Amino acid sequence: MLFHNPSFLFFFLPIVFFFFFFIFKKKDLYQKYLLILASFIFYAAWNIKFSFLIITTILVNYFFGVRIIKSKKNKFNFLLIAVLFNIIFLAIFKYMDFIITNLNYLFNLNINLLNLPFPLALSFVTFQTIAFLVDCYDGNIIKTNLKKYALFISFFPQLIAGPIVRYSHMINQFEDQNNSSINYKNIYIGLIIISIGLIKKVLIADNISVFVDQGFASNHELTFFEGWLTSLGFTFQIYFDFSGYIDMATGIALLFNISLPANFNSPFKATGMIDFWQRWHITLSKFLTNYIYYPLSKSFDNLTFTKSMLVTMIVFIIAGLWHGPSWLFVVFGALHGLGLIVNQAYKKFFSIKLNKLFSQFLTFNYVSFSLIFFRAQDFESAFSIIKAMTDLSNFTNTILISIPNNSLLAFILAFIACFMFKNTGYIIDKLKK
Amino acid sequence: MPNNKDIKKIILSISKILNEPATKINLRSRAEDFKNWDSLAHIKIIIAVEKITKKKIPSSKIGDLNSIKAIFNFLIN
Repeated sequence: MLFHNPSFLFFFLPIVFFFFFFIFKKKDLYQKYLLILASFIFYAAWNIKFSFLIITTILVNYFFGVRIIKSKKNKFNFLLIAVLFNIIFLAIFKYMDFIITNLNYLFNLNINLLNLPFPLALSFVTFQTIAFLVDCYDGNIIKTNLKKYALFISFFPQLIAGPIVRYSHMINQFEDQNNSSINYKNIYIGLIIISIGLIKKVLIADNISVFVDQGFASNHELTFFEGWLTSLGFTFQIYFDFSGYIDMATGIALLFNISLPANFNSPFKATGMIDFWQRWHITLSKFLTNYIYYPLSKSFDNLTFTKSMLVTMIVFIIAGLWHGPSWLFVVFGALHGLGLIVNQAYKKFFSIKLNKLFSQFLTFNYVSFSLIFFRAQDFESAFSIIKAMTDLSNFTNTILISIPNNSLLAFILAFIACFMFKNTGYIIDKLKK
Repeated sequence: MPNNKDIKKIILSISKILNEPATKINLRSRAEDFKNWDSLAHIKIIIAVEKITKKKIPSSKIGDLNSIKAIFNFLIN
């Protein structure tokens, strides 16, 4: 069940909303149990077997969280075991075949692939869980219970694709008695945000995907223009797809009086890669900074610029790999690490300020270039598209891939919306005032 | 609670890291007020504060200490 499916929008969501505010009106305990139950049904609708995996990870991590909070001597050991458990759990389902393929290639082995289906949401749940465990270790969480923890992990608006939230941010809102009553202003804002998300996802991203899919499928035959159209098209597609989904998540959460943190802030208006990561997938960026970049940086006695850049590269390779089990994602992450290093080095060693529009142009195109590796099926396809984009002998205005009018309109709208309009975060702030 | 000597040392370290005069740094200063206060400068500030006060700052708190006030509040508590 996805947010834009009619079964979710016209059946599941209204029923949960009705029970939450009318049947269990002001009975916040029942409301919480309802949200937990609804979240498991939401997940089980995709795959009932895997909902047991989510339940397992909730039970195991709750156990470790409580141990970490209560333990005086073994806090660190419990944290270490719990974090390892989560990484191994994710590795088994997401990376095992990638590891086996590489081992087979490196050592000429013939180990059979497991072909395990990947449980939806596990990547987000893993990061959110690690943040919870570290917060328990650092004393940011001094008590919890299974109901609160299960709700924090499973809350259906942000279970599948984030944003990555911190325990205190969510629990304070779930515990607030004012949030158990219907709030018409939140419903009004929530419905507007859900509509914006739907438009972004269904009208823009899905229409652009029509020619992007064709472009990536016929990557060997692309002309110069087609190469650029495919690459830029995917850049807009992924942004409108993901930010549209996040808008819907934000709007749905708001119906239940829960504010989710902003995850995007007009990323294509960024004037450099540092700026880009402060605007794109903000909650992932914060997680990587707080829970990987800072601890790794602090582990150096004398943190120099070079060491800090090395840490940046490691963090972004991890980030790349987190997106998927493939060397293409590693390259995607490494390109972003490299972009950040160049940006940091420029700031440190050059005092000439680049023109804002030129900086935006450079950043947007670099991000767009990196996304070719994100989307391509293999390196050969990625390099074919890059070749088409750079091969001036193929500079012809012929466009062989068919671009329906809807797709072309969606592409133009995407361009205008990204560079000339305010974003959803701005709209939410305006409506809240 | 850091003593006056430590407070002066912290302000001086921050001014050096941000390449800004110490007079520009006060209790109302926030990360977004300084163009050089990025993630690298931030971690350098945290390491400097830890060294001066000999107080360990947990990783999960580092991101929240994005203003002079937040840093001193953390040290007081």
